[in-house]
Amino acid sequence: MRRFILICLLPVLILMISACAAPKLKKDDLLIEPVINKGISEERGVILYVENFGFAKSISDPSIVGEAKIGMFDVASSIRSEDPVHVIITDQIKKAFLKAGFNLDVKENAHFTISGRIERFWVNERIGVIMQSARASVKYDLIVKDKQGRFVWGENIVGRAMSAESMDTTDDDVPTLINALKNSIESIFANESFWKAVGK
Amino acid sequence: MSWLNSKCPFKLFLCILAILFYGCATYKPPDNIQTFYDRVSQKVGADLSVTCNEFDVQCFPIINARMAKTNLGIYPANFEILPVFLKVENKGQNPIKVDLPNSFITIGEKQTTYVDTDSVVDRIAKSDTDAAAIGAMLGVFGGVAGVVIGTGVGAVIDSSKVRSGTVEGHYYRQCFNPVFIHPKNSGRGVVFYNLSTEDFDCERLTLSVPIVDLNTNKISNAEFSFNPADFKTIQEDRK
Repeated sequence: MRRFILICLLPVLILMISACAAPKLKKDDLLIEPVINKGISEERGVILYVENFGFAKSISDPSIVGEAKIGMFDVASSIRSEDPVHVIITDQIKKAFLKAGFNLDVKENAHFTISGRIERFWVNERIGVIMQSARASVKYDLIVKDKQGRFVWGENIVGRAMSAESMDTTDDDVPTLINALKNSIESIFANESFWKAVGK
Repeated sequence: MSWLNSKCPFKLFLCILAILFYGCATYKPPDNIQTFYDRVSQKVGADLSVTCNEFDVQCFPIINARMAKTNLGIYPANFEILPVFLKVENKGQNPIKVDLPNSFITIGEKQTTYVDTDSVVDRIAKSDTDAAAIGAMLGVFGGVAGVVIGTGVGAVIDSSKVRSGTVEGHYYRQCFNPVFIHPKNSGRGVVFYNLSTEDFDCERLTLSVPIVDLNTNKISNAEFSFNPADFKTIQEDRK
């Protein structure tokens, strides 16, 4: 009888243990270095003020950044982040603008104000019969306004990334999401119209 | 050993059948010179447009099954989404933003929301995964038990797959762009909304698309009310 109960409980235990292993997006994962080939000379002294990003209503919980398929039975489990998505993107945008040679200051001293709204910050796993891969996409609006509050430049920024196919892709979930974020940031600085608008 | 008995050729035939079904399910976007806008606007026919001093908005709901299959590779009702082709022209002096994440559909008291393109692709991929899993399971069952029906049914279910990979790039290219529109410019493309299967039979729905003036922050709503049944047939069918 005891053996029978153990056999019945075993799958439940396996499921419970595997569900605990959902990856997490930690602050240390975000030490990324986007490649910014074009920059602005610091002597030009272009000062920016970066407002905290908001997020669209499609993001119901800003601390959940994806869905992993865990264990033998591909149990769906939420990937959580230490920081909410709007904090992550605001921080990464600030770092990227500094790296590109802009100065950051309070709104009163700034030449331009940067604001934005996040629409998507998500990674999940595409599961085939045998192979799996992680797919991530990051999407947000970026708006640049001048001192008078007039629109200078805006774009719907999109970064996507996909991991290589493997038998179990869960370990690739967070790195793929980081890649998508990195791609999105790099696309801002690769855009000629952005430099035409703020690089003067 | 079982592959050496008389059932072997029949199983081989079923495998070939499965491969054929697999090929049939792959979506190939139309490659004629007509743009998506030309194909949709000419066939939908009914004119849904909102005009004001600042902007013109045209809306073409893609409800006809044949048109949706040709242009998007799916039957929208199967995925509980309503694809709509939008064209927005900025006629004013200020830049505008088409605020798609805040656009919505109202059906009576109920509101349904906008779905971004990546989520639509995820939804199609999820359906592919489910079809593949059931197909594989029945295929294995067919092999083990020596019952050919399992493999046959597996192949048919497999054929219901859309192949999300084949629609993915097409959707990214055809989605509404740009959302930030400068004066005298326009944005166009497909947007998607959640719509349950039974809501496709509703008598009237209203699509509201907020448009923001980026200098004054004034928000205007472009609203379209229509009966989905009016778009189930396309102009070719009406003739």
